[in-house]
Amino acid sequence: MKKLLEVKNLTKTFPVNGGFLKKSKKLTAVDGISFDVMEGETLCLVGESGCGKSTLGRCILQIIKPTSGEVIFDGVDLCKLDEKKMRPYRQYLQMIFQDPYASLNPRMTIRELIGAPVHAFKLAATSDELDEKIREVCKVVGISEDWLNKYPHEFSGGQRQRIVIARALIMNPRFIVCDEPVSALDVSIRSQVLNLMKDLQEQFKFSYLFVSHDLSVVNYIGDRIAVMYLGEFVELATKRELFNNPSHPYTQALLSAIPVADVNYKRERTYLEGEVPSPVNPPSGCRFRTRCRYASDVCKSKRPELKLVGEDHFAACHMCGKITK
Amino acid sequence: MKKSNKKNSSYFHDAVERFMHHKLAVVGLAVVTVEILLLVILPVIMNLEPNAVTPAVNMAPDKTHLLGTDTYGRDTFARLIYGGRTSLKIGFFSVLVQAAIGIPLGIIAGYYRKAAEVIIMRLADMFQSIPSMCLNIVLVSVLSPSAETLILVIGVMGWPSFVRLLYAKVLSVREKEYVEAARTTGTGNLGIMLKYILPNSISPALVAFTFGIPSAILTESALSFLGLGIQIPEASWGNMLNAAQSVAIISTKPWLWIPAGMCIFITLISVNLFGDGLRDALDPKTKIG
Repeated sequence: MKKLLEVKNLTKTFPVNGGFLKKSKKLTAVDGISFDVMEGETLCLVGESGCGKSTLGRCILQIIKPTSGEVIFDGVDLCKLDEKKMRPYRQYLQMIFQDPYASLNPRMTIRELIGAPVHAFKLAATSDELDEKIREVCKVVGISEDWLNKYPHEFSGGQRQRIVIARALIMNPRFIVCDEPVSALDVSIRSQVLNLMKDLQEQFKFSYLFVSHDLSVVNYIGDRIAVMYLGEFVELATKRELFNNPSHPYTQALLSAIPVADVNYKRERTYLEGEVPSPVNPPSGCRFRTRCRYASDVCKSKRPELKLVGEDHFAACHMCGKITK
Repeated sequence: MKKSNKKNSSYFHDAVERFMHHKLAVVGLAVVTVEILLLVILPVIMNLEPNAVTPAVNMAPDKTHLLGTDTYGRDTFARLIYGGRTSLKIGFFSVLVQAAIGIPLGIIAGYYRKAAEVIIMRLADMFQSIPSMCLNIVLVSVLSPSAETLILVIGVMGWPSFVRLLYAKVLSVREKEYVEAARTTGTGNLGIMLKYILPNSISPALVAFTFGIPSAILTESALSFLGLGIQIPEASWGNMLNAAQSVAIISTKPWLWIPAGMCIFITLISVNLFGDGLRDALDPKTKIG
C-alpha cells in the first residue's frame, strides 16, 4: 500500500492562562506524534477524553495550526502553508464531525449545505452541474431528493450524519478525518452509519482517520489502531495484533474494559487506578507510569519511544516483553 | 441564478408561514403598514396645510379641523400627518445608519478577534463613554439642524450598541462546529462571515433595530425640544409634543398632545411586536403552531 499522508513529530501546545499576574502555562495536547496513513486504510485513534485525539485530527487538517511538526500530503508539508495556499488541499482532506446537530449551519438548506464545498471550490460551472453532483452524492449516501429543500433541524441524528457525510463526499476526498462520528448517535443508528462509511470507503478508496473512544466501533471499522494517552501514542498496531496481543499496559486495561454480552463470561479485569494526570504538568519519563502497575525506575527517568514489538506492531513501553499478561 | 431564487423563495416562504402564526406580530405589522399608508396617501388625497397659520387659534376638534388647531391656528391633523412622516423617516433611517455601521464592524471584531477586536471595541467604548446627548447637541448645531442631519447624527452616535450585540453573538457562533466545517469545505473568510456568521447572529440585531426606531424618535423629539431638532414650522411628533408642554395645554387642550403621544406609543408597540415576530420567523428552528 502507498503512503497517503505522513505525520512527523506533530506537536500542539495551547497556552493556559494562569490569571492576573500569573505566568501562563503550556498545555501539550499533542506531543511529538509521528505516523503514516496508507491509501484506503482506516486508522483508528482511541483514547480517553482529553488525550488529544480530536486535536490531532484537527491539526492534520490544519483547522488548528500545529505548534511544530510536519504533515506531508502529496509531497507538501501542509503545516508550512498559509490558509490561502492550503485551500486547494482542503478539497482532498475532509472532516466528519462528532455532533451532527452542531456541524450543520441551521440557516442553510440541505441543498446549500451539501453544495457548499462545490460552490467554494467552484467545481461546478452551472447550477445544473451542481444539482447533478448533489443528486449523485445523495444517491450514494441514501439521501432522498425531497430532503434537499429542508433545513437540518427537520432531521434526526442519523439522517444529519448522512448529510454531513454527503458534504464530505461531494469533493471526492482522499482522506477523511472522522471525529467520533457515531458517538452522538443512537446505538441502532450507529451500525447503519458505520456500514455506510465502510461501503463508501470500499467504493471510493479513500482513507479514514477515525477518532473514537468506543473500542467496539473501532474493532468493527478499523484496519490499524493507535492508542493515545496524554498526547502520545502508546501503541500502534493492526487491529488483529492489538486486540489479540496488546503490549502496552494501558491498552491492556482498555481492552479489558470492553463489555461482553455474555453473562457467563468471566473477565479478568485490569483496573486503572487514579485519574489522568494534567497535560499541563505531565509526569516525567513515561506518562503512564503514575497509573501503571508495572512501573519501575527506568519509567520515571526515560521517556519510552515507539518500538517495534511485533509485525506492524509498535508500543512505547520500557516493560514490553518483560510483563506477563 | 435561477436556483438561488428558488432557494430564497422557499426560505422566504417558510419564514412568512412562521410569521403568520405569530398573531400579535401580524397585528403589529398591519398597524405599521396602515400607518405608513396613511402617512403617504392622506397628504395626496386631502388638502392638508400643516404650516398654514390661520386666525382660528386653539380650536377644539370640529368638522374643518379634525383634531383642532394649535396656538398659531395651524391644523393639528395636518401637522400630525406631516410630523409622522418626518418622525418615522428619522426613526427608521437613523437606525438603518446605526445598523449599517454596527453590524459589519461587530462581525469583523468578533470573527477576526485580535487587532480588529481591540480597535473596534475600544472605539465603541469611546463612543459610548461620551454622553451621546451632549455630542448630539454639538454635532447638530455645528451641522445645522435638519432631518438629514438628525439621521446622520443619531445614526453615527448609536452604532456601538449594534457592535456590542453582534460582537457578543459572533463570539459564540464562530466557535460552532459548522463554522469549522465551513472552513474544512474551503469556504473563505468572507463567505463564512456572510453565510454562516451573519444569519446565525443577526436576530438580536433585528430586535434591537425595532427597539432603536422608537428610541431614535424620542431622541429626535428631545433635540426638537432644545430647538436643535426639526425646526418649526416643519412638524414632527416630537416637536408637537414639546410644543404642548405647559400645564394649561395639557389640562385644557388634549387635542394638541394626545394624538401625537398616541401615535408615538402605537408606533413603538407595533414596531416592537413586529420585530419580535420577525426574530422568530427568521429562525428556521421555530416550530409552527
